[in-house]
Amino acid sequence: MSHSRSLHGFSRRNLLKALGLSAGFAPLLPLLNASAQDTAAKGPKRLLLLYSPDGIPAADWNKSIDWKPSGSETDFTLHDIHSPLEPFKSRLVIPWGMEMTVAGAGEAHAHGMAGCWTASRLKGPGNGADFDGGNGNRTGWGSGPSIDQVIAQNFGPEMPYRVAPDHANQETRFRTLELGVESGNPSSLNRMIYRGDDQPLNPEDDPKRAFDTIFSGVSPSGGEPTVDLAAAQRAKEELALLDIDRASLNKIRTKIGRLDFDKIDRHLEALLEMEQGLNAPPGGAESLACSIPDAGGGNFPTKVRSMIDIVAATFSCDLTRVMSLQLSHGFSDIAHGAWAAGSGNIGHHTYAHDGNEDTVPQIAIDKWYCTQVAYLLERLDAIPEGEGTVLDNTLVCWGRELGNTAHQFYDYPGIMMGGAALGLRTGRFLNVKDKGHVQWLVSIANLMGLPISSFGNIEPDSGGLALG
Amino acid sequence: MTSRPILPFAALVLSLLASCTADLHGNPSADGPANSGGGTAGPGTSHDPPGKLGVTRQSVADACEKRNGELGVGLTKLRRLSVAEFNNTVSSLFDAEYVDYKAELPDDEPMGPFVSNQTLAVRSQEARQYSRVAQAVADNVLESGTGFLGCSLPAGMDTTCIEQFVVRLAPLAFRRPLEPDEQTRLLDIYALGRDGIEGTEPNPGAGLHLLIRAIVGSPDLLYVVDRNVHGDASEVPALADAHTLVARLSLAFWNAPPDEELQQLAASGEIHEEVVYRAQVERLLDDERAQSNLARIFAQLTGVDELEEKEKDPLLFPQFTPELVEEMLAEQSAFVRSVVFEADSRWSTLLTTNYQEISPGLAELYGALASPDGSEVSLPEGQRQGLFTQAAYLSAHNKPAETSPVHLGINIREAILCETMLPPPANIDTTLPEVSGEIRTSRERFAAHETGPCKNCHQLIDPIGLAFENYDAIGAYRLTDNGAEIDPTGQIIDGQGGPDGPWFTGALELSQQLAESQQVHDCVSRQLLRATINRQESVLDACSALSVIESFDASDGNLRQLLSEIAHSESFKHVLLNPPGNTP
Repeated sequence: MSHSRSLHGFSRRNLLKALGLSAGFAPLLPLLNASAQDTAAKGPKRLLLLYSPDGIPAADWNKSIDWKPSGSETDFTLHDIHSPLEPFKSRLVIPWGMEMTVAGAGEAHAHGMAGCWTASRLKGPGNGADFDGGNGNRTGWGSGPSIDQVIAQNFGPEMPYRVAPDHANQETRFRTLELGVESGNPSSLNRMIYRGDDQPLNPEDDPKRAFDTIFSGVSPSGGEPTVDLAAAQRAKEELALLDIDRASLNKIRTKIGRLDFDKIDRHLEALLEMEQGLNAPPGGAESLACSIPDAGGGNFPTKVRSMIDIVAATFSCDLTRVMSLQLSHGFSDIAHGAWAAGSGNIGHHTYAHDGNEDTVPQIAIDKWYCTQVAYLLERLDAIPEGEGTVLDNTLVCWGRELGNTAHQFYDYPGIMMGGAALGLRTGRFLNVKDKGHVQWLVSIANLMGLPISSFGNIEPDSGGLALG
Repeated sequence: MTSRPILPFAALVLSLLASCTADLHGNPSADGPANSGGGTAGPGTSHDPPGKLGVTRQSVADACEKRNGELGVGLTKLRRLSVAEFNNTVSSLFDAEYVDYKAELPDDEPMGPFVSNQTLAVRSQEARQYSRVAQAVADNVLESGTGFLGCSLPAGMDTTCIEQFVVRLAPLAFRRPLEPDEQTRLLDIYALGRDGIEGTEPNPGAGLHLLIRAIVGSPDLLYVVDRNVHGDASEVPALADAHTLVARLSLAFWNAPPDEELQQLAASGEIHEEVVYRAQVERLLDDERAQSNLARIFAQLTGVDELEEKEKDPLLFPQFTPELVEEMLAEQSAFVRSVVFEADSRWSTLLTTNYQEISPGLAELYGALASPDGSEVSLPEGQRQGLFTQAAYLSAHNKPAETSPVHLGINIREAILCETMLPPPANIDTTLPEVSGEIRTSRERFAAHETGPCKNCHQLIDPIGLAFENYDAIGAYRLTDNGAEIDPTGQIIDGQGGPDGPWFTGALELSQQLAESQQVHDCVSRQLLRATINRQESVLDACSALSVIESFDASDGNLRQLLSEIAHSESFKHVLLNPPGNTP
């Protein structure tokens, strides 16, 4: 069996280029990461990007609700929209006043979506990509990697992963996991996570399928690892199927046009990731508190709950350290009336600005999403790890594709949660009026152990936020 | 790679394009020079004003005339099978009932109103999905026995039957002959599954399961790999090789892999004979699969393929049940089939006649009248004619609780006039006045669009959309809106703000104009070309597009002949794997 490892993915040089760093900066990366923490005792660093659709409710064009918390940096009251987070106030950092660093084709929902985690432009149609970017405006794909992917593709003692993505012995079964609930078809309004230019990643949308993929073969805490001959045979078969697919792909690569080589190389990369997953520790038994949820199906709220349970369990079993969870998508028009009291029977986006402008149901919808976020924090905080909980080791960042539903990008409701063990001083509200949200993304990378000062292709060299 | 000088023909069309006139389609090209589609032409639209179309067509015709046999073919992109193609492949390989694996497969990528999986790479998420689907297929197929083998599965180590099966099935699955090393690999996989854990009895069933997973999950099944007769990746267009050609035919017209007859004609090379090719095109179009395929394409073109996901206000429209939606979809599908494959096949017939069999739910919605003995129902006079007055179309584009003239107008402009409507300018107040006092009908509320920055686009959209005001959000006929009489009169406006046709009253007269419009004929030809070649045509396809459009005109808008003409076009029969010369 030949194992082709012709990876053309994320070389170190490309990474540096994407980050806007010169090659001369390269030797610094490992040096900066020299002070290793004791992962085993404290638990690994983790990142979760969380998305919910639309921005802060606006009654009218130019009249959005000011959601600014009242009070001082450490003694503040959350705006009503965020009141479900009240029990976790001491675990939050709320940078209020950011302006989204997004640009490009499509209307605001579309380039807001493509830019919310990438701070990179959404491109016009091209290379066969030609999508409705809202109101008939055509777009292609986004043009840069999202911050979670950059963090996961990197490695070092201060980072979620200590070994390179192409290392044979991965620390977790999945380098990253992209999860979603009703995230929509692959087009620019529906995708926020990018591996790179023109490379959106599709989230897994089905809780049952996500569950099967993530937890197959994982035993809950306390289970004795056994020598399982049937499992060994299954693994052998899976590896043989990967090999036969690799042989096919390598042959296909010799028959196609050069502009299509990338597709085959990425597919080969995916097969390698699957192989690494098969060889990675199964998770579970050695982890501190791995419990496996029931995977539900059902309507939107049931699926949201199931996915949140899966996120918490995945972290608790240490099956990945970098995840994203996308609830619905840009331009979301889900009618929440059946489960969010007071949110009426009309779709979310329709209330926002489609002839039915009304902040009352919009606020009810936003608070419903916020309640789900609170549930997520509750779940992560219920799993003990090291001297704290999984929430302390996990930086949860909640973002949207707009500042407010009137298509404006100011006062972006980006919120950080958890992550105390990463060095984030929580329980604070910071006035960062008019700072670009790219600075927030840079700060997220810095907290995850990646010393960058520039990100994306819209606003270079922005530096981070002064998080103190 | 050495770069060749740019081809004279390509240079010609490219230079014409630079003057904004050669792209007779006014559409952003997929692999031509950068054209963001952002619109430089008339107000509110990126389409050339219809008035310029004649000039444009002539310049393309001249360019095609002068090219001395040089071929014009757009770039062939590697693509993955669509969900529907995958389902049909599985059902045809195992002679099994159609199972929809949509929920398990990665979603299709949109390409205009159609789908074509040609931009996204397979990542681990998708690779896992494909692997899991292959497993599900193996489970499902084996559940009903091993009859599909064509021989009986041996109990022990004998592999004769399995070898026969691999030799027969894999070429169908991969749409090309099997190579010796591939056959060996597949038999090895079988043996691995059969032998199982060391020391246990051989299990041929387990071997077959693994073998099916390997074939169904193979990149060779998933990717449509187009080859030319020379077997190279040339920068010059060349005739598609025999297996590529038959795969293109069957995927385009049946949405399914080639049958054995096509495979044989490919193996013998006879498919390259003009007479044989012509006969096969007709055979494929005569088949039932061509009918369901065209019904699917029309559902996509009219946006009706998304109807099942649409919701209506349950208080206002309690009758809008999944059953009624099914009747709506069935009506459109049966109507398209009957017009194209049984009646005169004309585009104009599709827009100006009705489907004769009215199902019970629709009869109620349409207020159909029963004959005195109750044996027949007929539609009330003067209320409905053609595709755009059917409940499926109206329900797919109207809002949950009210009509949406804007969405209807945009859809007509984009789907059958091939224009791209631009979004409202940033930060403009798009709120319409509420229904109150003197403002009752949609037209009265839309009066706000007639002035200021709204006018440029809405003068194009609104008159078309408001023609449908005689139908409510689920397509029931009405004469009043909020108690006020509906005025469904209007006029199609061109990109310069001038009239583009006489005044019409209501959707019936509008449909009549759309049935006869040259721009609509050009657009429909082009849309079917795209759906059939599975990509957006580029400037390099201009001569094929022109020949297809001209033949559609010459046949008085005959859709079946249009499909046949596309199969005979240069773009359909040729392959270009690398961009010519210095084209980026």
